[in-house]
Amino acid sequence: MIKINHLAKTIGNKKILIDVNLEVHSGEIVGFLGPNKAGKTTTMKILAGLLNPTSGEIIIGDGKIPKDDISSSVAFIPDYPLLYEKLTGREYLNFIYSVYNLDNSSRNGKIDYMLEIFDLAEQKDDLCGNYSLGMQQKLSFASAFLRDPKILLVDEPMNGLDPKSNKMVQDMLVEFAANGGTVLLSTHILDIAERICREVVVINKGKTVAYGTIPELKNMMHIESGSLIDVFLAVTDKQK
Amino acid sequence: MKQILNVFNLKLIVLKNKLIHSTVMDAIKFFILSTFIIFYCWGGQYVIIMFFNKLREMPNLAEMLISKLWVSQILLLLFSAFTPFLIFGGMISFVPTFFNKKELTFNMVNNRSLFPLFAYNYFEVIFKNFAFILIAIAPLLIAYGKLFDVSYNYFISAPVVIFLFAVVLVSFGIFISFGIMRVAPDGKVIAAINFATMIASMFLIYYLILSNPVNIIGKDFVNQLLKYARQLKEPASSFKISVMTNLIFTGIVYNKSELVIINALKLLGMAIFAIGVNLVIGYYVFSKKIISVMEESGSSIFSIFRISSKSSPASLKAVKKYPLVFKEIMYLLRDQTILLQILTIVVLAVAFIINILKVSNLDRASAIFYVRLSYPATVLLLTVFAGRLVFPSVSSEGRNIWLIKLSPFGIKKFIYTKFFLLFFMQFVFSMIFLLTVNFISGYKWAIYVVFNFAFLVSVIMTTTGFVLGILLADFSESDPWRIATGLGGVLFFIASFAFSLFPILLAVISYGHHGYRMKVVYFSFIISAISVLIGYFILNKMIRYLELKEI
Repeated sequence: MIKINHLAKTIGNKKILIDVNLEVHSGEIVGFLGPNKAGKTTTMKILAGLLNPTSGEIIIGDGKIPKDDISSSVAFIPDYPLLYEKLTGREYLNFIYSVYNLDNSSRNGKIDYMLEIFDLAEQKDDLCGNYSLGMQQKLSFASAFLRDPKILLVDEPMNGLDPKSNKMVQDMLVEFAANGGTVLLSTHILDIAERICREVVVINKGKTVAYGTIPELKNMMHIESGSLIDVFLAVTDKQK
Repeated sequence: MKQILNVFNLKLIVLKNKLIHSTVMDAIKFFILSTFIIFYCWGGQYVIIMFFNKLREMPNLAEMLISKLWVSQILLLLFSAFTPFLIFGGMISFVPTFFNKKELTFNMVNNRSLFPLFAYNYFEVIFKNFAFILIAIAPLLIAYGKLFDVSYNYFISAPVVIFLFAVVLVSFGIFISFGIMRVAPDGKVIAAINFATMIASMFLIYYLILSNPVNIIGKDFVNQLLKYARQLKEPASSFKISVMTNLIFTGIVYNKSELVIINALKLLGMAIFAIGVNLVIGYYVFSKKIISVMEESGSSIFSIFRISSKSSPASLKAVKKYPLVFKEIMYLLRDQTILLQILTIVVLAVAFIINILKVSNLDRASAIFYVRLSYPATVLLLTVFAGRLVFPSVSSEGRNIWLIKLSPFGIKKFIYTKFFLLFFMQFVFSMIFLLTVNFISGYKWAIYVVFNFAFLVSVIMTTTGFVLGILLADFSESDPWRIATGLGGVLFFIASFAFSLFPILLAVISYGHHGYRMKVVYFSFIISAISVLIGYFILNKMIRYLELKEI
């Protein structure tokens, strides 16, 4: 579970986040939406532990996960894949496996499985730097799933993915949530959010401006027919 | 022409934006750098003038005629030394400057001519090398002018002459790269240029060191120097670039306007010719081959040697046991620029040793001299190594530092793993180098001195590199070459060399004519222990800083 109450973050003199609130329960995928510069990535980075909040409360995993174990429970997949270009795909996954001290007995099987399902088996011994952006993104996902995290923070996951990989990633996120995982998904592709997210949170200018299931948000904004994009535009335009 | 100006204008806008958005830290960095340059130029020329005035007062050197000609010859030696470095500068800057994929793609997809960008990059390489040589040589040029009380024309024309000198030589280096680009097989252009640069750098450094008159400082320093001074001749015109450049300065100092005009015209003509050749023939080759370069992906020196950069059972076993050590070693082996740096340092060390071997019948005094000289030489080599590998090692992680920060591995273990690996490499290198020099000089086997010095200097270099590397880390820049050549790199060079002066002094005075002095050696051990404690304390503070730093 992820719970954020009145999160604020100031960098220098700039108030990046003013009042962000959200809650994601186990087994849920929550869409995290907002226009550019709304504060989505900053929120994600705070949740991942890369930034410290200026004020507010953050509870991760029902508050029961020891602080030292949070890094093992939470996997952050940023908008641009973090890879070591001079390692091969297989070496990179082994590297991640080792730095996270994962169970050695299942190492080879799990790594081969991840390479297989992300369609990287043929290129597993090529340098990551020679992969296309889509392949790098898939390897980034493979490294996250390899760790069996409880919580996934996903920032713009579909960058560079072809339609087949895009569909596969969506299916994997749904399966992850169905198995009790928690997913906070930041995306600009509202169709995806509409398809796989139970609830959505919309933030704008550092504040949570809407939060609920899509039908609830439609009711709130008095939109009888229309898609999530209409709700999104109505919510963010209202802010202006 | 308008398009070329547009590119320059665009770059100016980028510079203006950088200035507008600069922080207090940027201002402090700029201030430190400016202060250093002023201190170096002003202080340097002061020391040189003082040195020459002292030499003039020494009775046994009076006959050496510390004259205009004498200083002119030193300047010529410097210009000769800079000749291969500027050619090499043109070659080494070629790939990173001319093959910026983002800029090239932007111009190509928008159907814009690549010529303005090409011309801009060409002059950028020249200007950077010009700035480097001008700053490096400034103290001697100022001292030369002031010693012989020349007119202000000298100081005004000096930067122009140095610029023309840089234009000719850097253009030559760039043109060599175009030549390689022309003959290289498609899809292997970058690899071929890098490979040729590596070979050229080793050859040039080897040639430079072997051809240098190190042996002047041989058995009898003063006699050798006198012999050298007597051999000096009145300046005469020549087509050699370094001679031509030197003659312009000498002509001004001697008030020989004919010598100045002839050589200035020759140099100007050669500079215009070099620019013309590169802009016409160079651009022709560039535009023909650029598509092949754009298609090239991940091509490296290894692909020429046919050494696999694929994972093997051994590499997989290593990554399981020592993930970070494995990653670091793979970066050393698979990154051609890093490999090039290491090879260059090894070549320098070998060239130094060959120089000593060339001196036949080494007497006791010369042996001690060479052994002592090997200590500052070690520091110089280690500074180059640490400047390229240790200082950028944190910053070059780029955004991948997130991976480490978010993993249970943690920043502390990450920094210490890197620290010990790089420390070990420096320590082993300096031990081998110093012991070899000791051995071939026939001096008593000074294992304590060598061990202590190698240990102390490696600790100093590695700690200084990591402390400055963490403090000045810019995780948006992941290219070690660019990090090392930035302001932080310059600061690191000064700091590490300054911190190593005391160990050098201790090591040098450890050598006596009847074996090494144990009291100094014991004192060095105490200094080593204190340095380790100080280093440990500061490094831990820096690790804490990095752990708390928001990236």
